[in-house]
Amino acid sequence: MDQGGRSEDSHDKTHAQAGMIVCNECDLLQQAAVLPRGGSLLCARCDAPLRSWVAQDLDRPLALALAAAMSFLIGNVFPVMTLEFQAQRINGSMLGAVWQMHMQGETVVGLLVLATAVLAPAALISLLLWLLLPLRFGFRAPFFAPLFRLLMAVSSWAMVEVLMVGVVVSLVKLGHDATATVGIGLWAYGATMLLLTLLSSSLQGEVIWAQHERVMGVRPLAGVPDAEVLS
Amino acid sequence: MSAEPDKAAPVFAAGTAARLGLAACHACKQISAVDKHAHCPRCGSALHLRKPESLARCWAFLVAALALYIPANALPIMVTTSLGDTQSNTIMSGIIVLWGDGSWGLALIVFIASMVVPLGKILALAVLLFSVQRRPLGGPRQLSRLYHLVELVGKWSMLDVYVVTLLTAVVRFDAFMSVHVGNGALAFGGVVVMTMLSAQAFDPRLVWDTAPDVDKELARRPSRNREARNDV
Repeated sequence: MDQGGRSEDSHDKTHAQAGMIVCNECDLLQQAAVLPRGGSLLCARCDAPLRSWVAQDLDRPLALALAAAMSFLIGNVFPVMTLEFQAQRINGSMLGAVWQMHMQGETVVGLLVLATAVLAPAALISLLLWLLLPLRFGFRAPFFAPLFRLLMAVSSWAMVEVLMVGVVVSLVKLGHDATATVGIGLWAYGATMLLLTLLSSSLQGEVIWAQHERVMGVRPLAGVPDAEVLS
Repeated sequence: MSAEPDKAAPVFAAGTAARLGLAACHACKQISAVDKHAHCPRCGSALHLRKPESLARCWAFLVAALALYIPANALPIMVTTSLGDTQSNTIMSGIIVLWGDGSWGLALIVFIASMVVPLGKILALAVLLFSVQRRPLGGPRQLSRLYHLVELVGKWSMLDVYVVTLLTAVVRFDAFMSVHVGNGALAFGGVVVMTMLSAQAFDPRLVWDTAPDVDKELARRPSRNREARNDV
């Protein structure tokens, strides 16, 4: 039975990676070759990257998303940096910083920071968990398709890595006048940044849908009949 | 159905999905025929051969970014009060202060993120729009690469907004020393968002649609194409 399961898996792999693919940059319709482990596919016309090899199961992305959820939670609970000046201590957390912007009347700037540094990564991580966790155990999460679209829309607005550099610049700017120390929140944000980077290179939307089709027991949509293109 | 060039739709180059009336879903990559599906049958995203009103929307966001670029650089983004002495800094003067303090590496990073990237993005998008609407200012491959670069570096301009926010959050020692946000930060954040929206509105496939000898470009690597297509 184990043997059977394995061969089914490998069939899934070839199926998901073969077929037709359209280049995002130049719209060329082409046959996608089966990728070897670690390989990547370039467009035949414009050399834009089409797709890279990723594992077709959800174990690795799920583990990364769970770890990212924890580190991101810690990053938002604890201060990112602490400033000491003449026996006073001020802790700066991300949510506290957003609130401070609001108190100064720059609510819009605060909201921009809230959206890009807190809400977008939070949405990214929680949507991934919402979609992948049930799929991994053979269920389909409610609102699967609309939330998948939300995931795709939200992913370009998460800017955790920019925030990390921002913290470094702030610490240097503060260095002269006061004693600035790095908080637990910063390390947790750094871990979140690394985990999100690993996530983006180990998961593709197509894999989510291949797994969805497997769980729902439906045949993948035909897409393009080969004859139409190759004749 | 035949794959012969359709005479009713001569706009799209041979070999493209659009030529066959097919579109890849922008969210899940599923390929579908647009005359049968207004929405992706798999994930429900709206399907288009090309992004609708791409050029008009790209221009609109770009003009908004350009308008905001002036106050973003002219107004102070940060006001520092230290023992009654108030000092306002614009983006550029902040970089000069950082440079003067000896943090050359960081000054360079902030300079690239806050000056080079936003201006470069606005210029690059203008080049792309001009290339598509008037005449190409480069080969389609170069222009594609330019667009890719714009998408890649876009969010790094947010750096200064984060720095100001973090400093405001922790430097609150009343009369001794405090940091306040200036209105430049709002305009600057606006520039970042508008250039990102402008880049997202642009459809990179238009570069190839309007390339003068796109078929010749395609013929440049006939062997590779044929190989890829027959490798079923």
